[in-house]
Amino acid sequence: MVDFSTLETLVVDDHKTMVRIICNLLGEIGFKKIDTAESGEEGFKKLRKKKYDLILSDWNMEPLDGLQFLKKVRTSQESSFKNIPFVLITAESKAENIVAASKAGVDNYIVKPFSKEVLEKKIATVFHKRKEKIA
Amino acid sequence: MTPAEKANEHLGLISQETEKAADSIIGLCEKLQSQLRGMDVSSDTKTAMQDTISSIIQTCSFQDIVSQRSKIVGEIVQSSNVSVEQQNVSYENSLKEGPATQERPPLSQEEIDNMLD
Repeated sequence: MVDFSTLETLVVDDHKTMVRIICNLLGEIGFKKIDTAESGEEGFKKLRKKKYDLILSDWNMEPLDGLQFLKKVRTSQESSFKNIPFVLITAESKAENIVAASKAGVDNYIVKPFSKEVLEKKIATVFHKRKEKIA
Repeated sequence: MTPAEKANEHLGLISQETEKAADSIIGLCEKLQSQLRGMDVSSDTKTAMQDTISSIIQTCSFQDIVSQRSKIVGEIVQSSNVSVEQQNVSYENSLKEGPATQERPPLSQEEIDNMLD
C-alpha cells in the first residue's frame, strides 16, 4: 500500500479548472504535497528545483504538449528524471497516442473524464508495477 | 467579421462562460468540503456527503473537454476557406451520401489499460 501523503507530486496542466479538479481529488485520496505547473516548460523548471515522486500531466498543452514534456523528462541529462513515475491525463485516447506515450516511457494513462476511484487505482498501479520490477 | 471569425468568437465565449461556471461550482464544493469538516455528524454521513461533493467536482471536468473541443472546432473553421453557408451545403450533401471514411472511435480506459499491460 502506497502512502500517498508523503509523495511529492507535480500536476501539469494549462487549464486552471482541471488543475483545481485534479488537486482536489488528489487531496481526497490522501495526497498532501502537491505542486502545480501551467505548462510543460514550467513543469520542467520545477523538476530541476525539487525532487518529485510523481508527475501527472495533461496531453493538450501549448507550446510543449504532454507527450513532448514526457519525452523531455525521459531524455533529460538528469538521470533521476528517467525514473519519475509519469501519468498522462487526457481526452486523447487514440491508439497511436497510447503507443507513442508508451514508447516514450509513460507509466499510465488516464482518460478524461475520470473518477476519484480511477485516479487512485491508476496511481497505485504505477507504484505497484514499479515495486514488482525492482523485486 | 467573417463567419469563421464570428464562429470562433462564439466558441471562445462558450469556453469562457463554461469555465467560469465550472470554477464557481468547484469553489462552492470546496466551501462545502470545508464546512463539512467542522460539522458534528456521523462518519458515515460525512463520507457519503464527501463522496457526493467529489462527484460534483469530477463532473466539472466536462469544461476541459468543452474547451479543448471548442478550440479544435475553431481551428477547423478558421483554416477553412469556404463560408459557413457552403459548409452547411457540404454537410447536407455528406448526410445524403453517408460518411466517406469511418473514423476509428476513441479507445476506452479498459482498452488503453490492455495496451499498456
